[in-house]
Amino acid sequence: MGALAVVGFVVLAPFALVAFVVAFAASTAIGVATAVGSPTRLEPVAHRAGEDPAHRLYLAGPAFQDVWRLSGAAVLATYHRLVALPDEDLPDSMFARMWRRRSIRNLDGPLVLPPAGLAGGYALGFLTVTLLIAFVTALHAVLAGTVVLAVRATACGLRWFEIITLTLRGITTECGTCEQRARPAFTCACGRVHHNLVPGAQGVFRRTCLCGHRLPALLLNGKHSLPASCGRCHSPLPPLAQSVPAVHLPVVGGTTEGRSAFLHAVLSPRQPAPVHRILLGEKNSRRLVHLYDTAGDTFEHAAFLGLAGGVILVVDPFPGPGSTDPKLTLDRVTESLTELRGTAIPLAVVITRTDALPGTGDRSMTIRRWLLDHGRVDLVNTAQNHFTRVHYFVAADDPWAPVHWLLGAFVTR
Amino acid sequence: MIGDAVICPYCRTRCSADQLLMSCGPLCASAPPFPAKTLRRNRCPHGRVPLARRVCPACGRAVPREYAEAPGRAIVVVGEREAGKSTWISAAVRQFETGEAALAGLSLHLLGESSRNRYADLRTPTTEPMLMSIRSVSAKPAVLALYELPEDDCPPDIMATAAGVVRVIDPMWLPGVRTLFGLEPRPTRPAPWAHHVPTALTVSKLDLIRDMFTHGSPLRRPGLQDRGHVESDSLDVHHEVEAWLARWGGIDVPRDHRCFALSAADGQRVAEPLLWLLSRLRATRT
Repeated sequence: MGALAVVGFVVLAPFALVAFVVAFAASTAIGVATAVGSPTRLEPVAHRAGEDPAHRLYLAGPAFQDVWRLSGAAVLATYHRLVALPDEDLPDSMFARMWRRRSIRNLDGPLVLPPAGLAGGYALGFLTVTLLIAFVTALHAVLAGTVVLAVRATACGLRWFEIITLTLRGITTECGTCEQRARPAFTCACGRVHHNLVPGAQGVFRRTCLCGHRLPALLLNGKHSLPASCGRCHSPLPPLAQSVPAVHLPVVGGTTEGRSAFLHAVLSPRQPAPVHRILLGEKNSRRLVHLYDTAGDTFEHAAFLGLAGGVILVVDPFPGPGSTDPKLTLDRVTESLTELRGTAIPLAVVITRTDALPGTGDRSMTIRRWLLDHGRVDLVNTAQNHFTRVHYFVAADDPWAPVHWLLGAFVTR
Repeated sequence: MIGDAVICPYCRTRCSADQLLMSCGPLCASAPPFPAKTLRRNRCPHGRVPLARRVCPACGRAVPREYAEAPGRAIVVVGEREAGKSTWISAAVRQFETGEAALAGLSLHLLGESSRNRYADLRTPTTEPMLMSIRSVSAKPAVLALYELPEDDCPPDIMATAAGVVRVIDPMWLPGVRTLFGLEPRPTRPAPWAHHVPTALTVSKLDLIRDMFTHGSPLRRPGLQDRGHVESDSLDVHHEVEAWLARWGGIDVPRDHRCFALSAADGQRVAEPLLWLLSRLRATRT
């Protein structure tokens, strides 16, 4: 037996070697074909990012993940095609097909050599293909990673570009209902609300809402035309809130009639409302002016004072009985301003219900003098000791003058 | 920046500015006040703008921000009953609002509704302070908590926090003046508290005794309050009044003091004790 076996081994070894080489070549070729063909069977995955109802941008992450999914699928497909062990459920692998032949399984002694060479060839072929897949995967990962990084960096850059542009232009969004600075939310045509519509993982320039609608992510490409609402209380924001700097001017003091008369002169056709929005100026000097009509009783809950860029104090020089003293109103306003944001803002004092004062030269000084002559040194001192700049106006001169003075000289009506 | 230690003007609890509480606005459900340092981006725990007022953690009353930041100093106005304390406070506030002190560019601003209500009703005796901020252009405000207390009933916790005392003296109660007017002498008693702080000894009702002074006396001149605190004029008055007080007797003079005389009825030299205290406390430029 011993000698015969040795002879058998010697005779069959070249056959085994040939079988090994042929099996290796065939399995490598078939494995490569299988690996290349496998991606077509990859199931797509729905990606979401953040809480907004929008799809995730493929190039902002999923592409990178798919490289790993693809390589895994390719390795698995190659394994099944080449070397998977025989099993009822599994598809035929080349090794399994060979193994299932009864004649081969029953071989004994040196006759095992050729089938063993075949099996070794399959195994080495599988190993080679796996290494190839690993190499290609690494290449893909580098490429996909570069693309994903570039897309994310562009999105981040554009987001900051928008933030910096808004800051430089002084554009802030304030909700008139909750009287505080708000982050705008935008509504898609389908009714879904996007709270964070900025360049990011959901899109660089545009994003796709879950309804399939494409939404602009930048003010530059049309975001400002979408219906906006306050992200906190969901009340609608004015259409220009995202493109024009806002200025908030509380109008305080005076009797209800005096203040209303002043506001009526400024906003002649409008109905009384707690806040009036007017667009002033042209082109780059446009301002969305918010005029708050506030009764002079208390400013405890007047959160809008925290947004004020200036204050208009209406002074009725001849108040009727029961009306609040302008000094008391000014005290209350300065106190609330101090609590909220300080009084480092300008103050426009407007005298109502009196005819235009005579006199030439500096109107403001004339009116200040007139107030001092009428015993309102308390008002004048408090105003000048608290506020950065104080200017005096008579409503009968030009009701717009205080608004324009507060906005600065460059804004014209 | 908010100063380190704040003494609540209502309950005299000493706390750091961080410990002052803030409360939620009307949109939040009734939530307990929370420490100011837990504000996140100036938002309350519900993410809304909180009420602007800070409240004392001990008594829950609103401490105006100006008072907490300055920090506010307690000034105690003491005197016998009917010595003219309320009248003087009322006249002094008016002086700062519309009188000669206002002509010096000073403005006075009562802090908080409780102070304004207190000013509107000075007659009712109470230990409720009147918080006020006195400003001039381009200077930090001086914030005072003014307590009006009868001489025989001074709560020690208020006296302990006092940074200055205005002792209002009715001249008609002093032995020398009573003798002069032929009135029965009254038993005098020493002040029940020791003065360790600047004290303005203020003779009120000057109009009743003005005839005693010679024509050259500074007590016959109107004050120079339209120029703020004038040290030379103040010293003239001080020496004159100190001499008269020594002659009339019945007053124990504290170590750190300055004497004043005023008439709330005709507005003469009314603001001077406060102006001096402000300059002594380095609260305003003079």
